[in-house]
Amino acid sequence: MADTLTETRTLKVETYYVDGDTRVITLKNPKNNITTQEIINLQTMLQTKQVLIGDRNGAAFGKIPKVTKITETRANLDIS
Amino acid sequence: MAKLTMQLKAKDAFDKSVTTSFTSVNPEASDSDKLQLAKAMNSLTSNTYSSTDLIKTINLDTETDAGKLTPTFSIAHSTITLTGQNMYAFEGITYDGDGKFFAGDYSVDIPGISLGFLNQGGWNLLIQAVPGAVPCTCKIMATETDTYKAAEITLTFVTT
Repeated sequence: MADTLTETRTLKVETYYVDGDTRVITLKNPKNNITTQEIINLQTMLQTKQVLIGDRNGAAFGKIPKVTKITETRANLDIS
Repeated sequence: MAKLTMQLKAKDAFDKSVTTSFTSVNPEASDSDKLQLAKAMNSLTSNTYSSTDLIKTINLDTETDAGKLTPTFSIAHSTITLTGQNMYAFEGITYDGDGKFFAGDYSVDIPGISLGFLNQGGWNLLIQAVPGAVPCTCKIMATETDTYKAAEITLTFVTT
């Protein structure tokens, strides 16, 4: 029997607030072709609408400083 | 300040349920803004969100479910003038939920007015009035769904 491989992909969207607070939003199954413009549009929407606020004192949302796509491949080794 | 947690449920390519949590949601943000954020985040993924998937907003202080979202539901003009002749008109409707519309609760028995709904570049109210249509009020209602509360608008028909 061969090794069993599974792949999971996760997108980590880092959010930054004006009081210095940062928080990461984790999204499962990111699509393949995320563009910079999509992230800029999302950042603009968060800045305009202020739906998310800082954890400590409700500080305003600042920006999205980083977006990371993580692909994890797991191999369950066949040790039979 | 009480902050909220919001969850969006979607389905992945294998039809498995995927939940994304958003902490520290601004309690002063409107329901439609919350939904717009959730959909924008979901559009970065290959998960499928449909209107039957629930967004829950939970008050972190009391852990009670704040319930369904309140839709934005308004009409361009809520007072409509009957001209005394056959009249056929449209009024623009603004609605961000996923319910169905119906008209009812007329204040007179035989108003001489028919209402319908047309989706063409956005929802529109169709108004047809026959000669002899009388002043009255009625309601247009949007139904409650799994995600949205019911909503209604009162229309007033007047003569010139």
